[in-house]
Amino acid sequence: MTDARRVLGAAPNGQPQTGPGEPILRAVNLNKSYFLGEVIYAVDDVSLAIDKGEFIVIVGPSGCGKTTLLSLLGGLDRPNSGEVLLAGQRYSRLNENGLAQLRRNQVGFVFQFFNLISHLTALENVSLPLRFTRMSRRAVRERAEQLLDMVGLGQRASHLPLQMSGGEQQRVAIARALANSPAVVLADEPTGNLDSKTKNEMADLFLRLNEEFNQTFVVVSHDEGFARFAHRVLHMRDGKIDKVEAGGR
Amino acid sequence: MNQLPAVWSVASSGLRRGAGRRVLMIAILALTTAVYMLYSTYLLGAGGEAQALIDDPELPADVVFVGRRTLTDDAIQDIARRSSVSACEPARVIWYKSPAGYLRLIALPRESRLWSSVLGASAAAPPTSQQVLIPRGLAEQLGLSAGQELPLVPPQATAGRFSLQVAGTNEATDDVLRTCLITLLGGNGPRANSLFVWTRNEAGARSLASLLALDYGVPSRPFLRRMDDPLVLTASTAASLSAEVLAQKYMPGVSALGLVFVFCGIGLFCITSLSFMDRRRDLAILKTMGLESRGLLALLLIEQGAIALCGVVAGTLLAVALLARLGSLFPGPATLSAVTALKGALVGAFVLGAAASLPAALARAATVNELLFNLPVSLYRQRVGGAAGS
Repeated sequence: MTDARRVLGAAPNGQPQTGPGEPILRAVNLNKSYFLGEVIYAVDDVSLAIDKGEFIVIVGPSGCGKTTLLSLLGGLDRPNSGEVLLAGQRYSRLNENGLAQLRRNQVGFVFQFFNLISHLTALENVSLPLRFTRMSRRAVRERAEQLLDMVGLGQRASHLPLQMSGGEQQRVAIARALANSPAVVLADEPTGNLDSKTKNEMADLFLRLNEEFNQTFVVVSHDEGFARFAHRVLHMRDGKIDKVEAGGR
Repeated sequence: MNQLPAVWSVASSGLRRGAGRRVLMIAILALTTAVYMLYSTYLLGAGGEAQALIDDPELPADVVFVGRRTLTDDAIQDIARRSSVSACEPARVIWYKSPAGYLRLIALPRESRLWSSVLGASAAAPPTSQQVLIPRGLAEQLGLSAGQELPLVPPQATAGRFSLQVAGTNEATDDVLRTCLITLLGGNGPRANSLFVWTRNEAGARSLASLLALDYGVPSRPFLRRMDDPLVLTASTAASLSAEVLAQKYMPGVSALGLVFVFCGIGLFCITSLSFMDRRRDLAILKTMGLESRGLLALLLIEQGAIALCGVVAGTLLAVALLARLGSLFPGPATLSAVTALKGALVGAFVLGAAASLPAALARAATVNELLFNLPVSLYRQRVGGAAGS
């Protein structure tokens, strides 16, 4: 535990990198490697701490391990070594069902390709994570409608994903990610598949959600627009965080 | 399970979405189920045929024991107790000299079941011990017809010639009876010296034959009916013959059934695998949102269960329709029994379950990243990781 305390909230250069509040998400000496003819270190001894309400942007060249790091932070994949703690819960102590529960209750995901279920309407897609909980059908519907209103899609609730534009689909995905009031929203290139106008709208939406609801975001993006809104920008290279900058806020 | 509402929602809309593929799966499953039901019904009929062979009233005894001396009632009962005797009937077998040479005369009690082996015996059976049924060939050779007298002489006597009135020709289906003169064992006449014994199995028949030979010795002549005689069946040879009959009808059917199962299984496997490939992203999304293993299992059970239900119902209807149209081709009654329908349903469910098990296992084992990025799924995963320094 002593070792963990030493590295928690510390950047690779040893300087504390904690935000203004208590860290809600921590990664300690995370390692993830793949064997593709030779051992590839996708995430190489990464430690970081993210505070409640922080807006973190992770940038870096393709293949530097951003998405892998996001997967590890979200409990989608397990590290070869190291630890992730979200709201005090250690991932290594959770079995697969425990991790699933944690993702259901504490983590929201937004993907580059929206990843909506194509045969469900916008309302049903947003309702889906809520239906994993014990909420009543009525409460689920009301909450899903609120979320769709919040992202400006109240009138598109009954539309299927294919009947919506990319920006609209991504808004639905964001509404879905927020459905269970997660401790942190992890977004992987959320604007990577959108035109520049929609990108700005999306960045504004993320900013609004962060400011109004104090929602914690960790966003992997190449989009400079996000860096402007970030509290911190983490630069990744070869699986390591090699630079941490203050964002535009 | 609080995941069920979400699972149900995804499953029901997923079933509607992949309607074409589901219909194909249902059709394949219906075919599998119907083929099994038809074949099973056919076998039941064939089995009935075989059983009819076993229960055939024309069956003669398994062991015919011809004794040298008269058998007492005690001796008969003693023999009846031995081995696995299921029925034991006394008779008298004596050789006589006739104008056509030596002939065996068998006198049967009135209540003997062997009369049923003699065609028309109820009408032409000798009403008295003074009448006789003679083999048809002998009747033609001697120019005898009903009502005429057949002279007979005891084989080792020069005197004692007597005659029996011809009651009719012997048309027994049994090889032994067919070649004999047959008369009634009269109450005041000679006592039984022979036994027709029915045993429950071939081993019993052989055992009894040995015992009789041992106890009564030469010149007792117990003999086992020959197995290659199609009309001479022991209970077990009847069973083996029925098995043979079944096998002749069964083996080609089993091969065809096996091929149907294999091809249908492969078809279902391919479709479920394709469905799994197509739904990787959906499964990834569900897992990302916290779908647990049991939720995934419920999802698959709902989907595959719905397909199985539809397939089995369709297969049963198909089988009933085909039985109604092709009933004449079936050896037995062409009706689908409840047991056969139930077995067919289980077979259908098993084939679908077997075909879907690997894709289901892959779906369960896959991580979100493997599903999202089309990475190979590892069914076995070693748990690695943990807190550094913890």
